[in-house]
Amino acid sequence: MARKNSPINVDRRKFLAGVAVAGAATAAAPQKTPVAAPIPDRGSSGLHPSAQMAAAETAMPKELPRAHMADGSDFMVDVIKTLDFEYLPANPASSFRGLHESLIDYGGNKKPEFLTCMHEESAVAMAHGYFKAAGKPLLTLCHGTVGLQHAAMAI
Amino acid sequence: MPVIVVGGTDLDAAKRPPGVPTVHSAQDINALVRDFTKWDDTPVSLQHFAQSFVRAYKIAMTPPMGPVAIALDGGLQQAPIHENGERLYIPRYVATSPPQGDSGAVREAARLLANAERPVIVVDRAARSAEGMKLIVELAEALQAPVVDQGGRMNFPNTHYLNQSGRGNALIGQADVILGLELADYWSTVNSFIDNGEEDGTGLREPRTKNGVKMISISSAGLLTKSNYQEFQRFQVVDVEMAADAEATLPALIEAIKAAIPNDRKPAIEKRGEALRKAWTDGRERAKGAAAVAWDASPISTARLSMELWARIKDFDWSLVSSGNVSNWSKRLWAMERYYQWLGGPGGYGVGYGAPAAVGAALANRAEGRFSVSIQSDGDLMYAPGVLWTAARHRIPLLSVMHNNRAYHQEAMHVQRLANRRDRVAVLGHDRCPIGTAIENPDPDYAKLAASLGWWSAGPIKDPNELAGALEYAVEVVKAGEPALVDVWTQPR
Repeated sequence: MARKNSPINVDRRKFLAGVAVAGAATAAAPQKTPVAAPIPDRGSSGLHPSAQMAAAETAMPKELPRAHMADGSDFMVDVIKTLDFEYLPANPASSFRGLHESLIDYGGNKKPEFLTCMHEESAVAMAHGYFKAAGKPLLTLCHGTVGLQHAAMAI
Repeated sequence: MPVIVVGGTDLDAAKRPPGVPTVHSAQDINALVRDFTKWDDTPVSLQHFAQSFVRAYKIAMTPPMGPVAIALDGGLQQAPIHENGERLYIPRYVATSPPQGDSGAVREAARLLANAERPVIVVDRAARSAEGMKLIVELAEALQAPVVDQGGRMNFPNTHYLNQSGRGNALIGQADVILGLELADYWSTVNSFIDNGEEDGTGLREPRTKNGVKMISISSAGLLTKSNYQEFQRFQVVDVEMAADAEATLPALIEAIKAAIPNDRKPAIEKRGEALRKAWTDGRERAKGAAAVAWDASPISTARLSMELWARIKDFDWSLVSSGNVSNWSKRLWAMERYYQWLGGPGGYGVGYGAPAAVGAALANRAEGRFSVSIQSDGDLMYAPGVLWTAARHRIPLLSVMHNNRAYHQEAMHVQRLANRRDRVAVLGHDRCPIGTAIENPDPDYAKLAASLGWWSAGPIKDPNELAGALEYAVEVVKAGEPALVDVWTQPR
């Protein structure tokens, strides 16, 4: 496989080397002139989008029909808000997307305010440090088995 | 520490999305953390969630405080709220009062302490709040007894003459009554352990105390009953033991002690205080002398690092948000008087805790206008340096000064110790420490790392004379509301 593909790889390398040189030259050039050249107008596509397609891309229906009343996670936000958490350090994840959406859109991202964390262990340890200095606990969210295992070290 | 962990999972195998959400779900997800959480639940209805969430909060916040976990079903988050069915309600949170020591045990402890010749108070996680600190001062002053602060929390001002932490072992060795308040490890407080391979390889162990000593313990750890993790330490027999919260028990104990001190003992108690005043002053002088050793060394001594930093922050309303190992210079020589000036250790000695805990504490301090400072070790930061980005992203002001000794130095010492014991030379490879313990070649550039994550940064600084200038600049950045990191190459400890 590798041998069969090797000529293509060599060509690609040469191509990339050329790009790298051009990039370096651009970076070194004085900044008076714009770096990117204007894209020449080549005319629009021959085919116009259908009215349906244009509307789907650009327009919003006047009223979005709601399938039901508020979701359960809005109620969860109501519960959480009674306990006066200032912040919620967490790494975002699909398994709590319902609650996440409710917290920022229904709850206004206030009490608690979402703090974007890059590791669940960091999020929980931040809650530790916060409690020690503030005397108030924080709430954190973590995702399924993987998030909880990442968090476990700091719990 | 009370932390409310809410973990997403998808319980209904017939409805959850196939693929990743199913892989990441578990039948009983809280089982992963049940050994070290105080309580957990998996609500199956919205009303169940409301009850369990408030209950979880309540349990977390009742001493002994601890983390709780709520598994959050994906389906439940998206279940509609039926308004025509039973109305949902949110239970009101009412704080639970902490457990207090039994009145008979409090009286007995007071009797022993009031009549002691050489009482010693040992504190570790005793003060839960600023109020707790005031109570410990009142207790110590009532007895004119020395306080040995093990530092699990900020328990006692280090500028108070009764703070005798520096000579704790000597005091414990002479004591006739020892009062331990929320000690994580009572056994090691009153026994010595030398990791020297003696006693069939387990190390030399012997009591530190003299015969006939009476021991008293007040600790809420006695109410924690999980057993898999061995944090309860070696079993220690004590004479009066209260499974109770120390801070909540102190008012009754102080009152009982004041009532129990016989009039004819009062002059002797006063005299004890005078001797301790002199011992405190002598201790400070010794610490200053020790800090001056290798003052001009490069890489920079940890004492120089700590004291240059102290000179820049001492006039602010500051908070030391790290608990790292820099030979305790800050506790020995800074003036620590407020509850938030020392936050205490992680509890479980997990490396990687320091950086995020410092950011979390700095977040809390931001609201109070306090100046947060952290002495950050290199190995700890490298566990999850992404927290630096979180601090920059959310504009959390924090001065992080690296104690960059370019090694997992404790582990370097462990390997060295074993090599010595086995009469071998530890192999260093191309580094300064035994193979596997160095963090050098290549040397991580923490200033560049921090800068790439949105921090102002400087370093690596190796010349002690360059430290003051870098710190002064960094202080201005932090005062302006941004995080700043100064990478300093340091001596090992």
